[in-house]
Amino acid sequence: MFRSPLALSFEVATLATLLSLAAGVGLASLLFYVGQLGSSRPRYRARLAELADALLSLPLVLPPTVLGYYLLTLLGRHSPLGRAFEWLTGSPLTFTPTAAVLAAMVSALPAIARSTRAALREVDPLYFRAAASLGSSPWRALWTVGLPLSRRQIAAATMLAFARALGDFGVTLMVAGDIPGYTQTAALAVYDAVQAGREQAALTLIVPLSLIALLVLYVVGRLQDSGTEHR
Amino acid sequence: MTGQDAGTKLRASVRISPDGQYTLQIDVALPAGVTVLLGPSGSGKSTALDLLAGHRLPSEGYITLGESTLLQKEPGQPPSVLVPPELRQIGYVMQQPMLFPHLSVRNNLGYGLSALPTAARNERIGELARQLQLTNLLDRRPNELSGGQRQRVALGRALAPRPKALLLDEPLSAVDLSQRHELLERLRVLLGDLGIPVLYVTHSPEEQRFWQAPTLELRPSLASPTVVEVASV
Repeated sequence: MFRSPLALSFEVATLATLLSLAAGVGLASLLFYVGQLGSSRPRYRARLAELADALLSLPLVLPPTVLGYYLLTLLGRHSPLGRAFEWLTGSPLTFTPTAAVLAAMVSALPAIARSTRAALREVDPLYFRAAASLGSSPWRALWTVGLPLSRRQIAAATMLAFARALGDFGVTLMVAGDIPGYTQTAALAVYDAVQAGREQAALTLIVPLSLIALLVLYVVGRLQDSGTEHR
Repeated sequence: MTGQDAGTKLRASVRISPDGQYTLQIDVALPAGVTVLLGPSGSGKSTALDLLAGHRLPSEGYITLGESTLLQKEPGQPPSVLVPPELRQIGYVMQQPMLFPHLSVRNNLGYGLSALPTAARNERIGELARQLQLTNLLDRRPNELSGGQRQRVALGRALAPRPKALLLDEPLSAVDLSQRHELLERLRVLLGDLGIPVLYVTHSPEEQRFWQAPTLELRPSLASPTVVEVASV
C-alpha cells in the first residue's frame, strides 16, 4: 500500500503524540510523586528524580544521528526488543512505519513529560495539603488536583509535540529509512525533492507543513495566555 | 463539650527547630471544643499546625488523637510511629480557602467523601450546604464566589468527612471585614456541636475574646525554648 508522505506524516505524528501523551504524563506524574510528594521522602528520591529529569533533557541537546543510533541499537534485529517484535509480528521493527512512530516519540515524549512536570511543580503545594487533610493520598491528589490544574500546559505541550513529531527528520531517517511510499514522511520527501531539483513537488509539502506549524503555534500561544487564571 | 465525647482529645508534646535557630516546644492537650492559639505572626503558629497535621516532622515527641497515636519519635531516630497527613483525620482550614478551582462547590464539598456511596455523599453535601447556606451556590465555581462564601465552602469541605479534630489557621484573614462577624457567629454554632477538639489560630485579640475559650499563647524566644501549655485539661 502506497502512502503519500503527507498522509504518512500525519498518521505517524498523531500516533506518536497520543502515545507520548499517555507515557509522558504518566512518567511526569511518577517523577513528581517520587521527587516532591510523600510525607517522608529521603534525599535519594529527589536525586533520582533529578537524574531522570536530566535523562529526559538529553533528546533536546543530542544530535538526531546520535539519538537515531541509540534507537537503532535498542530496536534493531539483534536487540532483545527488536527480536521480541519480530517474534510477535513476523517482521522486523526497524525501517517500518512503526519505527517512524518511535522515532517521532524520541522528541515528543520528553517534551510532554518535562512540561507536565514543570506544570505540576507550579501548582501551589497548599492544594496538595488541602487534599491530604481531606484524606486523599498523594497519588490521588496528583490525579484529581495536580493534573487537572496543569491541563492547559499539558495541552500546549502536546500540540507542540505534535508539530515537532510532524517535522522530525534525523531520527526518522536513521531508524525508519527513507523508503518512498512506505516510510518516507513529508520531511524526508522534501529533502529528496530538493536534492533532485523537483522544487514544485517540494513546495506542495513545504506549504502545508508550514501552515500547520503556524496554526499549532498560534493555538499554543492562546492556550498559554488563558492558562494563568488559577495560579 | 458533650459527655460522651469528653475523652476525645488531641495531645501533643513535640520539639522542633524550624530553622535550627530556635527550638519550639509545644505541649498541648486539647479537650473537645474550641481552644484558641494566639500569637503574633512569625511566632511559630503555622509550624505548630503543620506538626499536628503531619506536614512537618519534629525532632522528638508524640501526638495522640483519642486512642490512636499519630506520631512517636525519639531524638536522633526515625519515628517509630508516623501516620501520614491523609490518614490523620484532622481537618485543616487554611488562611486562604484553597478551594480546588476546577471543581464546583458541590465537588469541593464532596472531595473528602470519595469513600462514600453516591447517595450518602450527596446527602452529606446537602446537609453541609444547608448549614452553611451554600445550597444555591452548589454548581458555582470557586472564582464565582465572594471571600466569605469561599471560606464557608472551605469549612464545609473540611467538616464533610467528619474529622476527629479541626485546625483553623486564621480562617478570617481572606474574608472581608464586613463578613467576618457573621462568619464567626456561624462558626460558633457549627463548631459548638461537633464535640471534637478545635484549634482556632489567630493573631487577633478580638477574635480571641469572641470565643471565650481556653487560650494558648506562643511567645517567640531565641534564648530559651518557647513552651506552650494549656492549663485546663
